[in-house]
Amino acid sequence: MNHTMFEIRGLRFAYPEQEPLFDGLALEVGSSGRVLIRGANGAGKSTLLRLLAGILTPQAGVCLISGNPSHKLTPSQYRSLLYRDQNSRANLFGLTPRHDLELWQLAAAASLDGCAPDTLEAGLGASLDTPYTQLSSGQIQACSLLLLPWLPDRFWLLDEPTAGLDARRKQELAQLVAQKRASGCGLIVVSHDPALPQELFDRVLILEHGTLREA
Amino acid sequence: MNKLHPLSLLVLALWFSSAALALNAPLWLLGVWLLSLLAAWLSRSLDLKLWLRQLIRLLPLLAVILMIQALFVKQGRLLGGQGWYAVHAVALSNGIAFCLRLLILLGSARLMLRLEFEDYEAAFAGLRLPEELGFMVFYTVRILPMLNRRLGHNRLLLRLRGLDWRKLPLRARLLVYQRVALALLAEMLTRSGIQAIALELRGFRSPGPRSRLQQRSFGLGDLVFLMSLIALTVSLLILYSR
Repeated sequence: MNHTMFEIRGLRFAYPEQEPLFDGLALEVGSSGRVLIRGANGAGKSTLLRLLAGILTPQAGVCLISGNPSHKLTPSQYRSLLYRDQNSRANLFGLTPRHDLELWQLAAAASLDGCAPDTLEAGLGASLDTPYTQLSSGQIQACSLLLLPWLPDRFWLLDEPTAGLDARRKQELAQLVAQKRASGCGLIVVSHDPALPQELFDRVLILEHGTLREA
Repeated sequence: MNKLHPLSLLVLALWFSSAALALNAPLWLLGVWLLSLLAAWLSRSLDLKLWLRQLIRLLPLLAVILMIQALFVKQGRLLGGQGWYAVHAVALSNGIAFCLRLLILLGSARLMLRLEFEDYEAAFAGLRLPEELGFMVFYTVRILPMLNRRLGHNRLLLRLRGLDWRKLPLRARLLVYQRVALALLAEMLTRSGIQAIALELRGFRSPGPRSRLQQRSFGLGDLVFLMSLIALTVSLLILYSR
């Protein structure tokens, strides 16, 4: 069933001592919605995603996730979400991919039941015990997206997920996005990469001057 | 207060922390705490909202300190209770003094946090101390807020995955603690290494005077401030020893 996953009304947000990025922003996305957001650099795409994920708190207006204020979500309510920051290292826990995997196993043991370390190492192209400092930025990005195939039952919020990925990994990501429809859970992606074509999404929104419009 | 030389601010922070350790009477300590708050407010390093939030977070710790004193110190006039939960005057006085000491030390740290590396460098140059010492003090002062930020980020990573820290089984919690501690330590070491290299590249130890240090010389305001501080210290010593 497609219920409203995200609802934004009259949202106002400004970083300290800066002009407001949004003032009166509105958006509604269903739980199975597949949305691509585009916009110029600095338009506020990543900020919007962080507001949707409840990492930032709006100064005014409403930002709801399944009817709950996004910045007041409890950890259990976060189990329906998967947020990936533009800074891929910031998504990863500990010092090595194995530390991150251990944390995911604590959070989503049932979903990761068939997730073998060998498969992950093959996907990453490196051992799970390699420190992040010895991985390339592309590998770090791949590492932050490594568990996406096992977590299709979460609503994905992906910020520039193809940045730094090679052609093969971009293609794999595009396939995952295409397969997401089957899970019944939606996604919001911020990207300019042609590797994620508009056809994969139900809606393409352009963020411009603090407002969203359909492309 | 913002126009004062960084050395004056460092002396003030040192004065507050020394007073916190030297004084015992709660009333005197309360006075020093209020003075440290005033200094923080005048130097614009006091964010009232943040300060109140920190104070509320500290309340359980302060309560534990008071409780420990009440349970284990059985000297002075009996104020209330009986047997093992009897509260005596000395216990209460000690507990309050300990709490105030903690608050004063935190206030001094806040005052020092306001200073940038250049301020420490200027302050230590004023004392003709090696600049490496300035770097070490600056970095030590910055470690706690940096660790706090990283801890906050790790808490966010847990929340975003749908994990409730408090509801984790003990074994899982220990594992997370271990991973977080390791990551924090590694980042601290890496960052201090990078900072040291960055300073070297900027000519950290190059000889000769630097224009920005010359601009920040000791002024009349600093002199008046330091003389007042000395006068205050002497008066306090006389009053306190009576």
